[in-house]
Amino acid sequence: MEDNEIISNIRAGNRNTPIRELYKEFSKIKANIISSGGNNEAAEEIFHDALILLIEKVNEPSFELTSRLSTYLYGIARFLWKNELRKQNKNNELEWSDTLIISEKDIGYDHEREAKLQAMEKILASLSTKCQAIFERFYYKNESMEIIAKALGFSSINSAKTQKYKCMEQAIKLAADIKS
Amino acid sequence: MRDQLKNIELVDNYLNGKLSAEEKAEFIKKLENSIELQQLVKTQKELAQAVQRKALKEEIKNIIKKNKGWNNSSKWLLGGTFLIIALGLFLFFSEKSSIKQDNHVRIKTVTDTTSFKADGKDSSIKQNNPVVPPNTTKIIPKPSNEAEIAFNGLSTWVKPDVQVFHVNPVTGATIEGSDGTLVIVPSNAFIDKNNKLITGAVQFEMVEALTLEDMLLYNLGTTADGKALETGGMLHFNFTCLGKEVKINPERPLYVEVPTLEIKKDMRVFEGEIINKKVNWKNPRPLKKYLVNVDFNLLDFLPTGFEDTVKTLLPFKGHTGAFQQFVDSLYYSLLLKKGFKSTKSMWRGDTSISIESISRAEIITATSDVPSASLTSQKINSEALCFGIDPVSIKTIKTEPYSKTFIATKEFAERVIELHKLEKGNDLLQLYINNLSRNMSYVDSLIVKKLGNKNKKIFDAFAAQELTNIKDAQIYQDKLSAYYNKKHKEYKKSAEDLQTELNKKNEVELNQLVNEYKNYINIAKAKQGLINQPALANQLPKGNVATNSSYSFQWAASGWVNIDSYLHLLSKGSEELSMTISNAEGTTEVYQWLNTINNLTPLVQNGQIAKALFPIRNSIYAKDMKNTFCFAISRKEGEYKWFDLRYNPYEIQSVKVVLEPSTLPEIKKKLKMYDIKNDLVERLNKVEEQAIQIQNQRKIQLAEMKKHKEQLKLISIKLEQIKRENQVIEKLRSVAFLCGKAKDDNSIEY
Repeated sequence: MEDNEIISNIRAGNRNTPIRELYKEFSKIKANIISSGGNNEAAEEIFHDALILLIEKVNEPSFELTSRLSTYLYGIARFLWKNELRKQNKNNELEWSDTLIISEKDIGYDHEREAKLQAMEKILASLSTKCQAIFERFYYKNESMEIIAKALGFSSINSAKTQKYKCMEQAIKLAADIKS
Repeated sequence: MRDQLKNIELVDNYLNGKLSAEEKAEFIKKLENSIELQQLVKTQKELAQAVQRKALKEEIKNIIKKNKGWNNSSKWLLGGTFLIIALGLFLFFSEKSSIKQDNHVRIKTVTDTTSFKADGKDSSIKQNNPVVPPNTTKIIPKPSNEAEIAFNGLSTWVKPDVQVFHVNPVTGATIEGSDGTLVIVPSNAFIDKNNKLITGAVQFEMVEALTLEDMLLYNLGTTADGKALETGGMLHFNFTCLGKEVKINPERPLYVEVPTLEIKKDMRVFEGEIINKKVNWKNPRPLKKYLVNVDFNLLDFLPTGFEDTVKTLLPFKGHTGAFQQFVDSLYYSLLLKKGFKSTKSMWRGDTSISIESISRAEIITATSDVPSASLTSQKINSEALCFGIDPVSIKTIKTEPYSKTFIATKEFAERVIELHKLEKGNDLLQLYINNLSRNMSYVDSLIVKKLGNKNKKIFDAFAAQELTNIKDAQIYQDKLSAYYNKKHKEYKKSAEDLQTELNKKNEVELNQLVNEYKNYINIAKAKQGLINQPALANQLPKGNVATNSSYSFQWAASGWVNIDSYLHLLSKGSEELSMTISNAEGTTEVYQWLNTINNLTPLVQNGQIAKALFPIRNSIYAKDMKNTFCFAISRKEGEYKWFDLRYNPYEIQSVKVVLEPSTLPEIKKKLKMYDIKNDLVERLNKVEEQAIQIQNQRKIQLAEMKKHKEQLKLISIKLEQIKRENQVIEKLRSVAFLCGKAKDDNSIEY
């Protein structure tokens, strides 16, 4: 599959084939992570995170491809793994061959924001399944509130909306609690 | 709606672009002046992004899981089915459109691997973990309607399934074929035609023909200059670098292990030569088996049945499951001559013992009335007749200094199990320890000399394995060891999982399961068709060289290689049976297959008659002939025809071969059915055995518990009696003596 095909598929929301295609990079990334002190789980985690960052980047309208996608993914993974090692106070030099050296700036990586997003993911997991379902349908699947109200059995669009805002309020409150 | 909710709604609409131009302008104005609102925008953005990430992560995981699942299963039975279906489709397609396509369709099957780029440049990726196998591609053959299919000069019925691995020749590699063949490529093993070391990526191609299906469809007969061979599996190798063929440095040969269900005697490794488009086997050489170090915690040095017995005696000392460490420590605490080490102090000081865990011995010693004959007699027995290995010896050898010697091998563990059963086991064990630098077979034969006729046999067989020493496998040891450890761990894990799974079942379910598996085994054995592998058996790993038996040898050539032994079937004369092919067309071949001895012979055809030779009636080999099959296959313009018959050569005069139109998938299915070299039965057996074992353990446990209860009842009766007696005595004392108040007065007086 060509890179531009992968990109247009991701942008169209067809992630299945692109992910399978990009997964081919996993073994190489895994071998590198394991050779610098990581294990299988760490490799999987890093790979997932790198893939998410890549998909987020691709979905940005301003995204322009300057290298091969696989190389880009590989570079992000290396960046994330280095980051992880730094967190563990290990400053290994990573000799990954043929890699893009990606800096925080290159991918707009903001440590503070990443930490917040991670915290928010945990908060989301603690919400009711109904809240989670509404959120996922609205923000991820881009479904309209009308469809959501029907699918989840709300009596009206408005009551679904109110439920959504209440769920958001709860999440925002939990986030504020964590901050303080 | 409350203010906060209203704000959230407003921000949400703003972020989703749902505000009108006026609303938006108003909102932005408001936003500039409110830190609170700014914060809310930020948080809600994060919320939306977090939702997306979380869902995306799930999606990624699911896709990868499915992807992996497909890959894994494709190595197994299902894969065969997929492959066959795929082939069928291609066939259909290519015939309909008659478009000329490439000979090969590449499908990537194993992606969990890459550590090396296949661009021919030396890669600087460090490969610390030698188990990480190299990049693998599988070339799946596409059926073609060429007049003839050929593979390096060999005429075949299908294009062989070539597995391609990209190997870094500098570091070497550990390669596992889809049918379980292990190839260790030592570092710096490849040279070019000028004997110069190759450093660029080497494309390592392997074909495995370990099953009847592959052997027949690749037209691989098992004859050597006309003599019949019994095969243990065939392989084909080819090595290239940047498209040019490369050689293996004869001083750093490959080490190949092929899994087998049982080891047959006198196996040799033969080299294949193609004569008239058929394979002939030549240059037999002996096999070579290396010892491989395995982590001690993956090896079992305890006497047979020890762990199982511990399981039936649980709970004991607060333990409810038989954990390895606990079982080991329990074993080490036993003394060869005196039963238990400091039994009393061990138990008395332990306050955590629950009532169930009080051993029978303690109950007996605590109550004099309970008959204690059984215990004393046991004690006497153990002091008088104990023999075997002193647990202290086992504890000593399972330590670091021995971890790089032949002590830390699967083969040594097998010997320890036998030593446990011998009177002088401990002294004989010492022989191994004292000769760590010698070949294992040397010590095996030392032991044979010291043993009486009765026990000699086993160690004679051990000595016949001609095992050498760990240090001989030097260039392979790290890679072999890593592979073996990985496989042993997987095996141990799956065995434990199976145990847990079975333990969850109640008596009724367990009974049901045992019956179910008996059925499966019968069906599988009778080969009444391929059975779908039941889930539990499927959980157990397929046969591999580390946990099962294997044939192994060093190899330094490309081309075909075969593990065989000569069959002397016809040494005492032969009987002839003719097969008449009534409708031969295109290329036709008739094979004789003896499934008891894995012999596939292409029969020589003379016109429409093919002749098969059999050992003369009543000769010792005749009994192996009862499962004789005749297969015939023909191919014309991409269309297959097939015939198969199972017969007893001593009961019929001739076979009439009538080929019927068939398809590759059908032919493959039939061949799978006729192949007895299938380890499925073994896995089914394992599940059944383990279920029965659990049933037995439960029975014993129940009986023990009942016994304990009875004894406890006796104790409580006794205690009740003592209490009552004390009460009576107290009562009498209070009448007989001046107690209580009077005591003080008296003490002042004196």
